Amino acid sequence: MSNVSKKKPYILHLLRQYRAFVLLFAVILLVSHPLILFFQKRSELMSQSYYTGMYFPPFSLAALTIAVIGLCIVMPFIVLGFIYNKSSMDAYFSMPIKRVTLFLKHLGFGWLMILVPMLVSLVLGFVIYQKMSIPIVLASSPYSFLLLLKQAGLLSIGSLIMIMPSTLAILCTTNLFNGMIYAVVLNVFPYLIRSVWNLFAQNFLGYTRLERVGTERELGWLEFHSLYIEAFHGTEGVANVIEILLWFVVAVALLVLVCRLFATHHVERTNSNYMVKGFYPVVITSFGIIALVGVLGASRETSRFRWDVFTEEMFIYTFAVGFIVYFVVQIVRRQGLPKILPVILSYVAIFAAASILCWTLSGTVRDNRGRQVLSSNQVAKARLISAAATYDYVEGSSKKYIYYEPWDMTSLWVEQEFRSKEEIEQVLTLQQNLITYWIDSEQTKGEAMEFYAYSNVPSVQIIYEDAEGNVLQARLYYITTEPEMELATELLGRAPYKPDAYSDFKPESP
Amino acid sequence: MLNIVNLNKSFDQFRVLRDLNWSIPEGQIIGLIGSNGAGKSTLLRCISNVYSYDSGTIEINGKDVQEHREKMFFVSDEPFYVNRFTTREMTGFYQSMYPDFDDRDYLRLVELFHFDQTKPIHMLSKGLKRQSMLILALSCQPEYLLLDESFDGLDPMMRLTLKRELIRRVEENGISVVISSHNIRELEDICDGMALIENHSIQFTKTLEELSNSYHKVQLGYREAANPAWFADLPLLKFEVNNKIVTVFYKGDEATALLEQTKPVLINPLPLSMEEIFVVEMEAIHYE
Repeated sequence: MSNVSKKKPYILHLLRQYRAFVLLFAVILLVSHPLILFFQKRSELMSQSYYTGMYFPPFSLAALTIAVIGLCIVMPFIVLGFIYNKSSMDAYFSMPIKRVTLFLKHLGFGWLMILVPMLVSLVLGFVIYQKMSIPIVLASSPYSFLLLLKQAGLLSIGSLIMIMPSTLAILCTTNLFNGMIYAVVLNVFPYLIRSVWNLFAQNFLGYTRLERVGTERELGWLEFHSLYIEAFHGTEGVANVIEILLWFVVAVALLVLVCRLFATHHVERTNSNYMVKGFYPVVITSFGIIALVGVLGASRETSRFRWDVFTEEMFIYTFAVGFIVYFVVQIVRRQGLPKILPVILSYVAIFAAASILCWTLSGTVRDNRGRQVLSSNQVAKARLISAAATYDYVEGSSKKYIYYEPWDMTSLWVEQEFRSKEEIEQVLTLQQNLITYWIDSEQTKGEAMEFYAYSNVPSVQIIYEDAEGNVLQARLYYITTEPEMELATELLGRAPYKPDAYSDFKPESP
Repeated sequence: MLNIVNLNKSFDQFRVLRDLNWSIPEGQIIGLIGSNGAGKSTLLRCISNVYSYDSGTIEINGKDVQEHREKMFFVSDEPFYVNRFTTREMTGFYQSMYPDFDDRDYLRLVELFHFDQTKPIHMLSKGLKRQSMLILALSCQPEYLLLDESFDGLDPMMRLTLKRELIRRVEENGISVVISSHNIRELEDICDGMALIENHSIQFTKTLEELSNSYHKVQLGYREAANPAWFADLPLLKFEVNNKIVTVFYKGDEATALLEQTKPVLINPLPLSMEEIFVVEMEAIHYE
């Protein structure tokens, strides 16, 4: 009688198969939180902030969150990479295991590769903080066990959505290169949507909001990556809970979709040129939008400073060149060299039509809303709000945001109302001068960004209202010229300092 | 018995299998032969669930083949292994999939093949990689073993050992083995029967005995030069006229009497290899 063994747990095999990655992931996640905390203590980085008098909250998980996001993007390529190998697919799909079960075991194991060290990292960080922090830090920024549990829960469920774009990309493509291209596109997709909204709604030529959509805050929930970084870098422990839960629901829906895609996966297409319907339109549209946003964003007329990776010219050009090369290679592979010209022309025609439409719409925004300065007869009340460059004021928002260390410095906030015709005309003159200066300026976007970033240039928000209190126009400008600075100072100098504007922060001196 | 009924499989626009019907008897070794691109590998992948098929059924003893996956093993033409794993380490993978994996049998096979199970598979030669795969496949104790070109790359001694091992398992455990190969000579001395796949479907499945009884190769001698017209209307698969000597290939017994009417002075039956049968049959199919 032979010695027949029972089935061994598959996870043991996976653990052995991916042991190198298990170790690597653990090291990355352990370095990104507890070790950073430990060395912060040693070098006394948890000391009082020079600018704010506040203490850097050591339970800010920004580094850990960034590490988790990065690993979640890469992980599916590790545990599902066999899908690009024909002999592996022969073996895996002929095994006595349902495809969906196989898929969930691999993806689940990959998720555990991130979750387990992440949770260990969190607990270690908690212990280090409790044991090693100086009393004043503990007093000003208490780190409770409940907060730890909240962080662990949100990061755990949140990591699922980070995994999904790459997983979807793998199941929609037939070779590794296209899979990686698609994963990049799907990961930046939320940023593209927001960039386009911002382009038309807020951030172009005077950045007047069209409606209360498209502002940084209102569409911020689309960017699930930044949502998590924001959620864990503040002093309040965790934020954006509703948005994260919403994304978790989306992640579960996507999980159902990818399970179905895996179950119906066509092995015979492995390493072929076959692409799912929608691959090329999504890739082309995404790269096209990135290029367009870049071109428009690089305009010197866009006066409001906001760091945006898509406005980095080198980034755009590198992306564009890479995309063109990739596009041509793919067309040659799919259609053959003789058909390359008509195919390229047809794609270019589609893209040109989209671009023209985009430019037309942009032009409408620019002409109708961008440069328009109201007449003093229309305005019943003008409001001037001033803050330093780091002050992030959202048009129409009643919230007053201030960022703490290590992300930014705090800034002062001053507001003044003007109701007399003479004062309103002074405000209108200030606005006209700022627009004229900016349009006449030969500064490129890059130069402007550099200037604002390092010079802490003050900005001024101008809001006009009619007699009924309706907002007619809202604009934000940076002031870089001396006459306008003097005028703004003179106007705003009439306002009292508001030391109690923020309930949670009281600077010692203005 | 494994039954395939009206199986259809297309790769996008290209039809590979069309209304394919086939029965694989239990306890036999069947050689699956066919020209390049005939669909041998596709058929085996459909049976083993690697490919989903467009329509048709594949059943074992009246139940869907999916319910018997633990009793089936497919050995692809490209051996599978986890990078940097040794054959011993690969047993963990198969033990987690096949409940009947027999470790003692595995060690016996390692000894039988004089195989070094501690060497990383990626460092092995092509033939040794196949050996590794076959040892692991047999250790899973499958009732249906599907081998896709698995004999290629094995040295003669290993081929002989493997054949003996397969024959022993068929006799003792009643397993069914399907071997697809181009090397018909290799299949001849191991298989109980042959199946020919051509024109998107199985043309026939016959035992070797049936094949040798139904196909004939005969050399005829005449007193004077033979006229090809004598044979043009006869039910022959093929004939070759060489002055007074004519070699004919035919199926069944119908042509035997008709050939005697051509009054040959010599009728000399010649041995017919499976390879010749394959070639003749293929020519006939493509002629039709």
